[in-house]
Amino acid sequence: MKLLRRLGYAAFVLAALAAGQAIQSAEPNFNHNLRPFPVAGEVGTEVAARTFTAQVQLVRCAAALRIGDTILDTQGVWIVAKLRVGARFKPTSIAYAAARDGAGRVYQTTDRVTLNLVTGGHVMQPGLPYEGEIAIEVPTAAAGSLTLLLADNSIDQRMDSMAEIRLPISDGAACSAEPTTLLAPKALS
Amino acid sequence: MLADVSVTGQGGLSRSVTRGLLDQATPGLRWAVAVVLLGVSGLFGGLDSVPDPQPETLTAGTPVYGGPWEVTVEGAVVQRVLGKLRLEKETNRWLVLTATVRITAHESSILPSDLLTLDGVTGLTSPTPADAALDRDKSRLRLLQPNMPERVLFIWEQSGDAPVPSSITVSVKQRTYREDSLSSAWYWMDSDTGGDVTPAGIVTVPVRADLAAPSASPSPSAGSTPSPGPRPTASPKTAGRTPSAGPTP
Repeated sequence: MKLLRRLGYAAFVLAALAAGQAIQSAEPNFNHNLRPFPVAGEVGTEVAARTFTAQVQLVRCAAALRIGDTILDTQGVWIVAKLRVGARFKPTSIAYAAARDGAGRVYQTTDRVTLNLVTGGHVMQPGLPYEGEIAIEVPTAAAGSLTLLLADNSIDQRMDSMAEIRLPISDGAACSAEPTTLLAPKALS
Repeated sequence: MLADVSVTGQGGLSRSVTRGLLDQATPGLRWAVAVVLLGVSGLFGGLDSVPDPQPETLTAGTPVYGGPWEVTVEGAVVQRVLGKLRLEKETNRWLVLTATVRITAHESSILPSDLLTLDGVTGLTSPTPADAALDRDKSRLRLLQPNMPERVLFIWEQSGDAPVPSSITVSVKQRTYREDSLSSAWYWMDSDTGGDVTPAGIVTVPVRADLAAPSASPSPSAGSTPSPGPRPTASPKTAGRTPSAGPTP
C-alpha cells in the first residue's frame, strides 16, 4: 500500500509538471501580447489608423522596375501599390510599409529606390493627402497571399494601430515581364 | 504464516538492516564515498575543463546557417580598382569576398557589420568590411528580404605593405532567437553566454589575385565593381541628380 501511495504521489507531481509545461507552451509569447492593433480594409476603401488614413487604389506586379534609365531587376517580383494617404488630426508621416505573406514573412518596402511616401519623408498635414506608388520585392510564390501593412513608426510598430490591406494579386507567375514605372508622390489639393 | 513472513516480515527486516547501516555510516562514510567518487571521476578526466566546441571548417560553397541568416561563401579576390570606391592610400588594395546571403528570419533584415570576420589576412584597415554591395546591380547593401537569397560583395581594404593572402578563413556570426531579459520580448540576439561567441561556421576560401593595371572590362562576380552612389528615387525631391519616377496622373 505504501509503495502504491508513493507511486501515486510521484504520478501526481509529474502530471502537475506536465500540465504547467503545456500551459506555458500553449500561451502566446510576449511578442504576441505586444503586437500592433490591426485596422483591416480592402483595396478601394479608406482605412483609418490612429494617426493617418490610407487607401490602396491600384495594385500590380512586374519583373522589374524602371526608374528613369535604371532598370531594377529582382529574383522575385515587384509589387507596386498606388496609395492615397493623409494625416488625421495632426501633422504626421507614414514611416513603415511592408507586405506580409500567407506564411507570416514580412517584406519591407525596397530601399533600392527612395520611397519618401512611406519612409517618413513626407510630413502630411490634415486635409492635404498625398498620392503615389510604393514598391516591394517579394518571392514569386508569395505574391498571391499578400497583405499591405502601414504604420507611422519606422522602428517599433508594437501596440499601435497598423493599417492592413489585402492585396488582390492572384498569381505571382502571371506578373508582367516588362519593367514598370513608379509614380512619384504628389500632394493633392 | 510462511506467506506473512515472506511478504512483510523479510522486507521489513531488510529495510531495518539497511537503514541501520546507513545511520551508522553517516555522515563520515557519505563524505568518504563522495570524495572517492570525485577522485575516480577526476582520474578519467571528469574534472578537466572542456573547451567550447568549435564548428568544423568548411569549404567554399557550403551553406552556413547562423540563425536569422544563411551564408554561402563563394570566393575572394584581391584587386586595386573597384568602381568608384577610393582607397585610403593609393598603395592599398581591395579584398572582395563574394557570398550568397539568405535571410531565414521571418522579416526583412539589415546584416550586422561583423557578420563575417576574416583570419589569415593581415593589414586590414578595419576588421569589418569597408562596404558591402549587391552583386546584381552593385548598389550599396542595406536591407535584405526574407527567403530571397542575394549575392553580396563584402569589401575590405588591405594595406599595400601586407602580403596578399593565398587563402583566408571566414567566420560566420550566429544569433539565437531568445527572450530579452530586460523587456521579455523575443529577438534574434547574440548569445548570452558572454565572452567570445562561437561562430556558426568557419569557411576556408582561396584568394585570387587580380592586381593587374585597371582595365575597361571589369570581371564578373567577385571581381565586379560596386558603385555605391545615390539610389534611384521615386521622389521629386532628389530628381535633379538621379533618375526620377514620372509624375502622378
